[in-house]
Order: sequence, then structure tokens, then C-alpha cells
Amino acid sequence: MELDYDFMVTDFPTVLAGLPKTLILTFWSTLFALLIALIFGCVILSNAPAFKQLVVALNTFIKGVPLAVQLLFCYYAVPFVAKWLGSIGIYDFNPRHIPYFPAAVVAIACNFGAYITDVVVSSVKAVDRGQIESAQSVGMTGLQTALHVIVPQAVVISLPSMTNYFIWLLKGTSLASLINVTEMLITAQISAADGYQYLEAYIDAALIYWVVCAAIEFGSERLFKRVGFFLKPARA
Amino acid sequence: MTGHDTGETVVSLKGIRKSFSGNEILKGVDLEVRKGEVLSILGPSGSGKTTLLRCVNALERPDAGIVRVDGTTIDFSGKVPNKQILELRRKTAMVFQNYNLFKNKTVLDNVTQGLTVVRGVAKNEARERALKALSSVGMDGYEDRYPVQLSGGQQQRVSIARALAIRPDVILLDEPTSALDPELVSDVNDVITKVAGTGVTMILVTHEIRFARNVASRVVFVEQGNIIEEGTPEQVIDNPQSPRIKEFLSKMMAK
Amino acid sequence: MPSDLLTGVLPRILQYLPATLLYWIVPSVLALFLGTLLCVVRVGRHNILYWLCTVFISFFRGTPGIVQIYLVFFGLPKVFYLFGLDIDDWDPGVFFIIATALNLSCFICETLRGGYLGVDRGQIETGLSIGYNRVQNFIHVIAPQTLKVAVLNLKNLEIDVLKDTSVAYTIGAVEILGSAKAIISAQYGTGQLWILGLVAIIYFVLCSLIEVGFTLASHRMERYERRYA
Repeated sequence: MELDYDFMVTDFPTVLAGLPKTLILTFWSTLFALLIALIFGCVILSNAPAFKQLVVALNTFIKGVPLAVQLLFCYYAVPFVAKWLGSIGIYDFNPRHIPYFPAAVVAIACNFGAYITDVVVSSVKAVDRGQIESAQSVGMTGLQTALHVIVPQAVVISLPSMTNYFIWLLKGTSLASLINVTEMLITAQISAADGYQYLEAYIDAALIYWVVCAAIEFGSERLFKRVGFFLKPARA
Repeated sequence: MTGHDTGETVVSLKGIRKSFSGNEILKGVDLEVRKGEVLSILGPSGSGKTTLLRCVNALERPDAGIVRVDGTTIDFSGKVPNKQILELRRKTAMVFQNYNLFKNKTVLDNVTQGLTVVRGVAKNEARERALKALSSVGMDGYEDRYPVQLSGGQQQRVSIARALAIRPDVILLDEPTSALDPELVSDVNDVITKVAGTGVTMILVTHEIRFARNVASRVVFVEQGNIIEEGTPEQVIDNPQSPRIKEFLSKMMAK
Repeated sequence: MPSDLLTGVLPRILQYLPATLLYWIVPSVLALFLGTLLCVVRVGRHNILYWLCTVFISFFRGTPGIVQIYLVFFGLPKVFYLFGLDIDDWDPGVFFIIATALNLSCFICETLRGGYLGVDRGQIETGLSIGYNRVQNFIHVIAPQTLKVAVLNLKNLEIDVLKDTSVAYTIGAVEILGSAKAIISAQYGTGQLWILGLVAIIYFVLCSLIEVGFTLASHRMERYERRYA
């Protein structure tokens, strides 16, 4: 097949150099997505009347809009936001360096935050009610129960879903290439532009994504086996 | 019959009412438990005996009535501050039908949690008390295991050790052997009998009439939300006044 | 807000609604077939075909959708060239449909597989004990239970397929988002946020319709079950 194999080999390090940028974008997006999910999750779990409905409605809307649309929205919104922040003195607005990276983080974090909220809520609800009653019977306050019993168990229960979404998020960062954010896919595209060897560059990028995602899946399976062993249901 | 009745009332329930979804389960129950007594609550399913037990440590909050454990009194007719509920729970310990050991903690941690986290006991003292309690239920050597690695009977014994280590004013047992395989039941019953012999105040809800007869110092029979008979095991189990109790007992003992 | 948002922009965008729906339905149907085939291999013996499929599925689940689209768009012509066929003038939408179908089939395969493996062993044994042969057991016991579990996941997959059609414009296949982008660039960036907001609402409505449709379908399936209970 007519492929420039030499280029595939020489371009590989160039594409690989884009991986750290993808990982950084993934890291910040995950951090804020978790933050959003924890806050929204607590609101939903607390059953607070108006807030819960608001949060659920917001999440439902976000889940029904494609990430590409959300990214583009943030892309066009960011100059206004940056200008406004500059006018109130928080941010040094420079029209030549519009902060698209934070825009991407916001879009991705909101998108995945909506999905991860469901994981948070369902994990907490999955903690056996008897564990909570046990803690109460021993005299623990609500906070102590949450800290010593609910949170540790909910975190472990949530691991499989969380790693799944983490991998999705990492793959989703590739869409940031649509709004001029530096990450691995756009790095690959730029490297191929001269000689129009796009296919070779994309193959390189695909291989790197594949290896990274497979590694994360494998690693998380091992982690879950080590940490999640206590979750097997008790024999009667 | 075991138990050392010293006369002083440790637990007192007055006028306890509780409804679930419109059904009145407890219809104004009065009950007193004296220090050192082993009180067994018997009755058919749905009679309200478990609900009554769970009112003592406020896992079920009565709609009306007064609950007293040692010096802490709570009147449930008005609004009850959480602080009082906590105070009540810190004087009691419960052994659940489904053991409910903390899955994410070792056996030792399960027993010390109530001491270190809740009552601020120092770590080494808590560890010592926990090991003693585990030993008294025959679970030496299991400190570092996790509940998922134990059989049902073993988990239940740890559960009893957890209750003992706290040194509560009363231990509440909610059908402790109902979820166990038959061959494990006698081990747990032996432990309960041993604990009863040491003078700990206990309230035991159970289906096992023969066991209750042997271990209890006093028996009450609950039916449809009321206590219809009360007395020594000889009185209530061997010679019940009510014909319905006679019928119930003969059905249960026929197994 | 642009004065002609609802009167001018909306109709122009909605002109491409059929394109979006096409890019949603065709891959779904194709992937249903391919995914079922893949699943049959994946629950069978661990032979060469099994491992080939495993690698295939791992690839499509481990790489971003947009990369797959580019790979098919640039790569498929080269593959066809080997056979002496020139497909450079194919509509870009075809490449998008092929890439999406391949991608979706992997997820459908895993969903069906999960449902199949999750069927209670006791159910299967019951079927055999009342005299079903393997084919009957499959039709009456295994398949319905597999589908019941799979439908929920299928709903989420289909919603994702619809949302992913929004990326088709990157290879020149115009649909809702693509047309919106064209309108935005023609207007030199006034009212972009309004136009994108409109697009967001359109996608949300479409996704909600899918959600409702699947929920109704699964309720109907359950009603059928209850009657036989």
C-alpha cells in the first residue's frame, strides 16, 4: 500500500511530543469535572428541593449537546469572557493570546462533569444501607459515617465507571484540535501539513492513543482487584 | 435462665407509637428493662418486635413516646435534636441480623471504630479492649482479616465483640442468627449465652424459642403492636395465658 | 441576538436535519449487523478469528472517533487503490458513515456480549430442563434476556452516535453543526453564540426524542414480559 513508511517513523517522535500536552489537558479537565461532579452529586444526594431539580435539568441538557458544539461555544465565548475579566482587573487580557486552553478545559469539564455526577450519586447509593445503620448504632455522627464508611466504599465502587469516563475524556481531548488548542492530534496534523502525509501522521497518533488507553484500562483493572476485594457480597 | 437482675431500670419505653405508610405498627407500648436482665422479645412476623427494638437506639424514631436509656431521656412527641439521639446511641450497641460489619475495615478496626472515632478512646487502650473482646467471642487471631474473608458465624461473633468492646448500658440483638447457615447457629448462641452470663443487660429479638427460653431472664410477647404477655420464660413459654401465644409457640417449636 | 435567528438561521440549519438523521440511522443499521457478527465471534472459541476481532475492537475503543474518521477518509481510498479502484470522488458522507459504522459495531458487540454473559445460568438450565434444544433455548431464553439488558446501553450508544454526527463537517460532510459553522463564518462572527445556542437546543431535542423513544420501547417489551409472568 502506498504509504510513506519513512515519514511514519520520523514523524513519530514529533507526534509523541504532543502527548504530554494531551495529558495535561486531560488532567485539568478531569480535575474540574470531578469538582463539578462532587458538588452536583452532593446537591442531588441532599435532595434539596429547588437545587436538585436545577442540577438535574442542567446535567440533562449538557448530556444532550455534543462536545464539539460545547467546545465551539466556549471558543467563541472566551474573547468576551477574557475581555470582561480584564476590565475588572482579574486577568491581563491580551487580544493576541486568547486563552483557548482554559476554554477547552471548561467545555470538557462541564461535559464530563455531567456524566460523572451520575457515577458519584449511584456509587454513594450503592453503599449497603446496613453499613450506615451499623455506623449509626455505634454512635457515629453523620460526618463520621460519611468519612469512615460511605466515602471509602463509594470511591472503590465508582472506580470501574470512573476509569471508563477518564478514558473517554482523554479521547475527547482530540476534539480540542477543532478550536486551536495544542494537543496531540493537532500536533500530528501540523507535522503532516507540508508533505500532505496526513494518513501517516494519523496512524502514528492513533497508535499512541491506542497504547495509552489500553495501558490505562489494564492498570485500572489491576488497581480495582487490589483495592476492591472487600466488596464481594458477604455469604449469609 | 441467666441474667443478674439488680433492680435498677436501665431502659424504659413509655407510650411508644410508630406507623409506617399509614399502618400503625406499635400502638402505645410500655417496657422496662432492669440492669443485668436478659429480656427476650418474641412474636410473629410483623408484630412490631424488631421496630420496638430499633426504637431503643433510635434507628426507628417513634411517632410518640418517651425512650430512656440510663440517664438520657428523649421525648419523641416534639422535635428531637440530633445531639440527644447521638447520646442515646452512645449508650447502646446493636448486633444486626446481617452483621453489618464495615466491609472496608479489618476485624480489629471494626471493633475499635466505636471506641476511637466515637468515644475518643486512645488507640492502644482501644486495641487492648478490642483484642479482649475478640478473644471472649473466640475470634483470636482474626484481627487483620476483612469481613469478606469470614463466614457468617464468624462475622456475627465479631459483631458481638464490637458491641462488647463499647461497654454499653444495653446490647440490642436483632434476630442475630436468622441469616446464618444452621450449623453456625449454635456457635453464635453459645457466645450470646456466655455474654449473658457476665451480667450484661441485653434485649434479644429472636425466632428461636428454645434458645430464648434458655438464655432469657424475662420474656415479653408482642402481637400486632402491643405487649400481650410478660413474665419469666417458664410463665410465658411453658404456660402462656393467651391461646394465640400457645398456637404460635407450638408452630415454632414443631420445627 | 441576530434579528433573523429564528426566521432566517433556523430554517437554513434545519435543512441539514435530514443529513444528520441519515448519518445517524445508516451507521446504526450497519453496525447492528456487524456488531452482532462480531459478538458471535467474541462469545465463541478463542481461535484466530476471535483474536482478530478482539484486536479490532480494542483499536476502535482505544482511539478517538475523530481520528478514526480521518483514518477512513484518507486511508480507504488507498486501500481501494490497491484494487485499482478510484474512490476519490465519493461523497465525504460515505466515509463518515463507514467510520461510524465500524466504530459503533465494536460497542454494540461489547454491549450484546455483556448482556449475553450476564444471563443467569439458572435460566439457561431451566430452559434445557424443560426440553428446549439449543436453538429454542437461544430464541426463548437467552436472546430476550440479552436484549433486555442491552436495550438500556443501546439507548446511550444511539444518543452518542447522534451527538457524534456533529464532527462530520471536519471531512466535508455537512450536517447541522457544519451548516451552522458555515453561517457563522459568513457573518464574520456576530451572533455566533446565539447560533451555537440554537444548535445546542436542536441536538438536545433530538437526543431527548431518542431517549423517550427507547424508554417507550423498553416499557413495551416489559409489558409483554409481565403478561407472561
